[in-house]
Amino acid sequence: MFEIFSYSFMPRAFLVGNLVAVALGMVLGVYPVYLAIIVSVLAAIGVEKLRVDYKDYAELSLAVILSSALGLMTVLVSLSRSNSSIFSYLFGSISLVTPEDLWVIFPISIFIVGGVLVFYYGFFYLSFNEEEAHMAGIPVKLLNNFFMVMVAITISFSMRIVGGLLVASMLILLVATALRIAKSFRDTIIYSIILGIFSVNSGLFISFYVDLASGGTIILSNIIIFILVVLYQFLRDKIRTKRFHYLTSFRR
Amino acid sequence: MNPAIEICNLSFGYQKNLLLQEVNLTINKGDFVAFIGPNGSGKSTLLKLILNTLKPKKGEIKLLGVPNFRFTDWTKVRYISQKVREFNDSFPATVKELIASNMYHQMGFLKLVTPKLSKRIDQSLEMVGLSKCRNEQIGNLSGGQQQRVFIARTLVKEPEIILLDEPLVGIDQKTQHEIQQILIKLNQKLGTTIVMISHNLESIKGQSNKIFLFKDMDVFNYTAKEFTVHLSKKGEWVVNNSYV
Repeated sequence: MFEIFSYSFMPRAFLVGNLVAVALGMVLGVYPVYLAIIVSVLAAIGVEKLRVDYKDYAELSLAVILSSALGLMTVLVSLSRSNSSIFSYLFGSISLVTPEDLWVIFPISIFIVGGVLVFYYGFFYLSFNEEEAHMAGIPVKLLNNFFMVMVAITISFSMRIVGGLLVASMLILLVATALRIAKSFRDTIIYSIILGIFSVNSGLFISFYVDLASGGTIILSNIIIFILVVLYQFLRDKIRTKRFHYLTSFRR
Repeated sequence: MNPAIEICNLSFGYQKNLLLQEVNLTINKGDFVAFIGPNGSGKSTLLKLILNTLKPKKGEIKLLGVPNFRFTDWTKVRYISQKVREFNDSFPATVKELIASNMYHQMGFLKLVTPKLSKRIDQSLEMVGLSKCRNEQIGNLSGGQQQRVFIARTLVKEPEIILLDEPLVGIDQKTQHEIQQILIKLNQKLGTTIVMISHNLESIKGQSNKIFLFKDMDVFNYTAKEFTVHLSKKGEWVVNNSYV
């Protein structure tokens, strides 16, 4: 959707940034989520800066951030003696969520929802056509940076439940499904939110009763919804063309 | 007569060679102007110079009496580019959302559509005859309808001057005529100054009151009355007895 998102490994850059923070937190013995927010916000601004500098080779900028973060992470993980808890950040675990997290998530979610509302049509124009938005006097640079920061923060928090490796797919799958059914920008956002709430809850519910990893189950329920939507649309189109052929056959 | 655009002794070239040399022209408020001429004769370049996205080598351009590099009220001067219809067709945007996004600066603290702005969207859609398509997805409309939506998007800003770069390319004859009628209506009813680059030489005479022919680094000015055009035996356009 966003031009900055048209490179599919964008969220991966954030995620590796996050994992660096987690590893760093483990080495320093600091609460990793705060560090994750700081590091991924820095990574986000770095990616955005490089993206503008490299304009026509934007993928390059991501590769630069991605590889440097990966290198850093590997070194940091090997430095910290116990690498068992990195697993829970990679694959997510609901038991990791502390009351402290909830108190941070609450104001931050208000910040993010508020941010989207305050700049709603700015974001719309930006995702439709960045160049035109710039010409129409929309603060493109500010909005791009703000958006990157919001994504970075969202990823840092979702990582606790869904896991670092899967959080990017969650962000993308929801929108991919919503894009198939929505006819407007507003509907795309609303459908993604509804689908998100539904899949996270059903995923958690199933993972608890069947004793599966929470992150994986959430993503799988996302995928099931996506497949159902694709299947439904495929069958609907088939039936439509059949009916069309049936109706037109009378004319001959 | 109030001049909308004045150009004095303007010279410009992308590299060493000049593309426009010592060009002088005046467009008055309420004019409907057509820019014609072969490809590469500097028509689009002149629009970009007017919009101050390119800097002239020599000379001056005034917009509504103000030198264009000091001009700030860009809502009054709007530009519809040649590339406007190059967008992602599957982008989930309705006509209403697309037009609303152009009123970003008129929105309040929350950048959302208020009833007042919604009314303006309706008015501008009515102007281009697309009231019914308000909630259609932009990618599902035909090329001509899309072009009309982009005109409506410009209209919500209530501009005094609209510059259009070949708005009729890739659109069938009937729709071309409809869009021309819309532009004429804007020009006559709202008094909007319109500057349009066109290759449709036959229809120009009926709509514009001034015609500027770009040729040999210069711009020649004709009024609609003295403008004649016909096809030569070789199939080239002949304007007032000289080849284009």
